[in-house]
Amino acid sequence: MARHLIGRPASSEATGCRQGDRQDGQGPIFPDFSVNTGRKALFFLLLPLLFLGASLAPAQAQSPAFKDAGPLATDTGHLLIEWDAPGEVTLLVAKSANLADADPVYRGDYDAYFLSGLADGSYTLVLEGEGGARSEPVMLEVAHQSLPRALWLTLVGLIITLGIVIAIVKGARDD
Amino acid sequence: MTKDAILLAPSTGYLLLGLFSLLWIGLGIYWGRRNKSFEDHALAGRNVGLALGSATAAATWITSNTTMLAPQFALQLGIWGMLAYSTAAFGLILFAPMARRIRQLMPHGYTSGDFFRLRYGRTAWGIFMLFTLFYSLTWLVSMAMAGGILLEALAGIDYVWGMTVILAVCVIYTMRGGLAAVIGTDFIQSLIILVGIVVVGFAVLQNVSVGEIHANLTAHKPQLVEVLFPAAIMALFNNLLFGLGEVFHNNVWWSRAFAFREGVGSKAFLIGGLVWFPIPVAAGFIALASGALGVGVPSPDMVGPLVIANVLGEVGAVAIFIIVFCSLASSIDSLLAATSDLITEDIYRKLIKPAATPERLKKVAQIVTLLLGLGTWAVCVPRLGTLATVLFFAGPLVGAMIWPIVAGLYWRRATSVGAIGGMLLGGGVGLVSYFAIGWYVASTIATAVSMVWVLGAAWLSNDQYDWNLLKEA
Amino acid sequence: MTFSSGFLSILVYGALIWCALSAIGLGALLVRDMSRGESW
Repeated sequence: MARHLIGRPASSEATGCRQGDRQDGQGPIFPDFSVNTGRKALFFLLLPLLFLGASLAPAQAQSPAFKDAGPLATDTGHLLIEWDAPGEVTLLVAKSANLADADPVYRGDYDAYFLSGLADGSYTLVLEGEGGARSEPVMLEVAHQSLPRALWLTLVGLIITLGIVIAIVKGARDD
Repeated sequence: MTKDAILLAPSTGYLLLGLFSLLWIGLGIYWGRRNKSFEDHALAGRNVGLALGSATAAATWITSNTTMLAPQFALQLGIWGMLAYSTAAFGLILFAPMARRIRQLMPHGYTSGDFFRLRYGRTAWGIFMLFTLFYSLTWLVSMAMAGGILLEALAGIDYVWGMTVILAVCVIYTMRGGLAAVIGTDFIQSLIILVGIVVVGFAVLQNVSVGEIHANLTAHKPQLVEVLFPAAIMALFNNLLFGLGEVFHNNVWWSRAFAFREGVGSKAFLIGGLVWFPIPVAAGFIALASGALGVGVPSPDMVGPLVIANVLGEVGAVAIFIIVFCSLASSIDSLLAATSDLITEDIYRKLIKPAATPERLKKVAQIVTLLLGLGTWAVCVPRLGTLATVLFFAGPLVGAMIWPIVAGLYWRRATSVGAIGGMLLGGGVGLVSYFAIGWYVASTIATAVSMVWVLGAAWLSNDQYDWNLLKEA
Repeated sequence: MTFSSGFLSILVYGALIWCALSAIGLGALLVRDMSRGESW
């Protein structure tokens, strides 16, 4: 199937845009068109400072940092989490703000992890570097889409599908 | 697409690529010797039997997405996600009775374009051509791009080289062998894919039990085993309708309805649908095992290959490489063949040179295949990610074509006004809802709007279409 | 309400066995077609 997106059994692997994001209804489909001019100017102003900073900074252990400082939100329970880190990191996901129930969902040297299957609720995400250095926590709010609306749309889909099946099975009676 | 996901030595990748390329091209040239006329080339002599017919229906529907996107669906939408993907099988299953009807109404037909032109006239035909070429070309581009990206991620083969080899191989054997080569290779490819999925699936289950997978999901990804998961429930019928729209309108399927021997079509599509049905679950559950196996997933579209390579090592990576290559080839070849036939029959023969000889038409179809391949290649080289996302817009467009086709095949009262309005209104409202509400409702809404319009127009009309007009194709 | 482990087992093993039977069935069908000279 080709298709489909849930939509399309066809191809998302070729999408440069991350499908997960797009399906969440977050983020533009054509990110290129959405660059804020003010931020762009700021970016170019700050760029030389960045290089300066990088050249002055010694190669010391840095704490890992999330690329998106948040707060994050999703209505499907899945989200791609990306970070910058010098080496191996552990991604901790906790329901409590003090990380008492932290669940280490990933440990390794990738710089991203695809979180999925989260139930409704507020989550705190933290990265732990090799030396134990921790990143700033990021808040993630999961609020799934409306269940009544989903059931209602499913009913519409069912009616249309039944209509198609009936039309085909009944066939041509006026031949 | 992914980071550091090279799973196979490039030399092994090139060796596999070379071996399979030689195999497909050799078979294409061998089977191409049977073809004398355009009818042989485009429709394999209208005499394809049940085994080859069933396998080609299943294999064409197994795209790289079935083997790669099904795990992604499972990872994002859980158990419902796999089942939602499986509903695409109903596209083939419901097309089964339609294939018999098509063969009966249009014994000499070539394309789905023939049907639109003869049943609904030039305007409806024009809209259909626009929709179907948009869908077919973006599908072709997205698969060629996916091929290049996957070969690079799997074996470190440079994107442009991988994409070029896959496209070139498919173009060469489709040009030389026509539909016969496509159907013959589809049979081999479908067996390789099925056996590969079964072997990989059981091998994964040697390392982790279903009970462990379920316990891990319940603890860490509870929504994936949740019955009332809103996004996943909505995906169910949206996916089903997208699948119906794709199969019902596209010449990939119509050309097969014309190519299968009399009496074979309906059985072949039914068997093809049943063969396809379990594949999204068999390939998708692997993603659900990622947590229990401790495999980190940096990008959802690579979850399948990552889990398999982690569990099975190099053997697994070779298996996934072969499965992916076969899935890509079995769909790219069919799209090339069916789209080139559509352009040759509907544009060249009907609009430019009605008096062309069968030999001439075969030549034109081969040239069009080559041009399609070259055009696709040129579009794919810059690797613009946004291009592939355009394919998602096709959901509402193909959904809007379901009712004009079903009504046009079965009801004398179905009218051009109904078909044209249904396609334009359904496609338009569907696209608006795609952006205003979300992808997960676009096909459903497009089909609903188109259905209401087509039914209303048929109910109000007094037309009594003469089925014999379709026999002229 | 959640899908049970037993349901997932049936789904996974059912799908894998179904795929295996499909492959065998298609092969057998081709042998039958070829023996009758009806493959294409």
